[in-house]
Amino acid sequence: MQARQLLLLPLAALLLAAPVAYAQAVGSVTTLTGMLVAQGPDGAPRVLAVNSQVREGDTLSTQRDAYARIVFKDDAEVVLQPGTTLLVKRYAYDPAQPRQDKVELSLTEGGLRSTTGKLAQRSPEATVITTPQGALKGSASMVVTLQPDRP
Amino acid sequence: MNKLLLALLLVLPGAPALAQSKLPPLPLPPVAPAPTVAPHPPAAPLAPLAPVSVAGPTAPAAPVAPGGAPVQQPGLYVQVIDGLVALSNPAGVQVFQAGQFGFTPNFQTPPVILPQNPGLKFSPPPVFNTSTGTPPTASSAGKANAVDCEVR
Repeated sequence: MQARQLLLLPLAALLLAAPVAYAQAVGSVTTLTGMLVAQGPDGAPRVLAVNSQVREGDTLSTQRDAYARIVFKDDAEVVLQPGTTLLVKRYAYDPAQPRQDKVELSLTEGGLRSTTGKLAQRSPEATVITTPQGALKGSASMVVTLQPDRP
Repeated sequence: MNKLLLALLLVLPGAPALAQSKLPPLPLPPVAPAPTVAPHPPAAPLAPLAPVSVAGPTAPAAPVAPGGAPVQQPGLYVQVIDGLVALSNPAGVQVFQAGQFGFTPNFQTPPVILPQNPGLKFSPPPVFNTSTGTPPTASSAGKANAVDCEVR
């Protein structure tokens, strides 16, 4: 019995690690000045470069003086300004499955400029950007800025 | 130009000897006399300036949004470039359209439309201002579909 459990242990570990290892790539870095760090659900930070993948569950952080452009799989873009933290909570886009369209981003500091893509054109209500002050829902290209509290 | 030629002659091996050889003197352009600067007249007293509503660290008075939200007050600012977006929180919902600016200071205050740009500055390097092939949005599709040139 104990031997069987020992045999199953690596399999269980593999199953637990699978969602992290195969987190879906939903976009990539196309333009970058400065340092951009992604932290996945596993908590391990990755320093991103141009052509690096952005995955669902990544928390993207631009460092001081860093700008980064991310192009998602539906050709939507976001440009992150310095000092920004953005969680790519969900990015569900399948050209053949419009009903599954869903984008959930969470901006907790900094700011971004977003440009709509194919998903927003066919599902205007499917994109939500949450912030500490409120949620932005719609198909707009826009600049969003979180002005921090004065020190 | 003459200085450059002289420096070149000094650097090249054997150039000094060449320089001292029988070369015709280089024509120098006539030097224009230094312009004389007239003394400034005494400064006239400045007329009082009209108030300028420019947001910035030195702006004497920041414009105030409806609801009493001064510019650069901490909170969420949004500028809609194209399309429509609804900003909602437990206190209310406000829809913003292209060209509008919105603001809410916190989760408990309803969003408001700002009458003008509250000083939002999103100025990445120029390389970020060129789109990487983003398809046209719904509202700009008509313009994007316009044919500039067609070859048959």
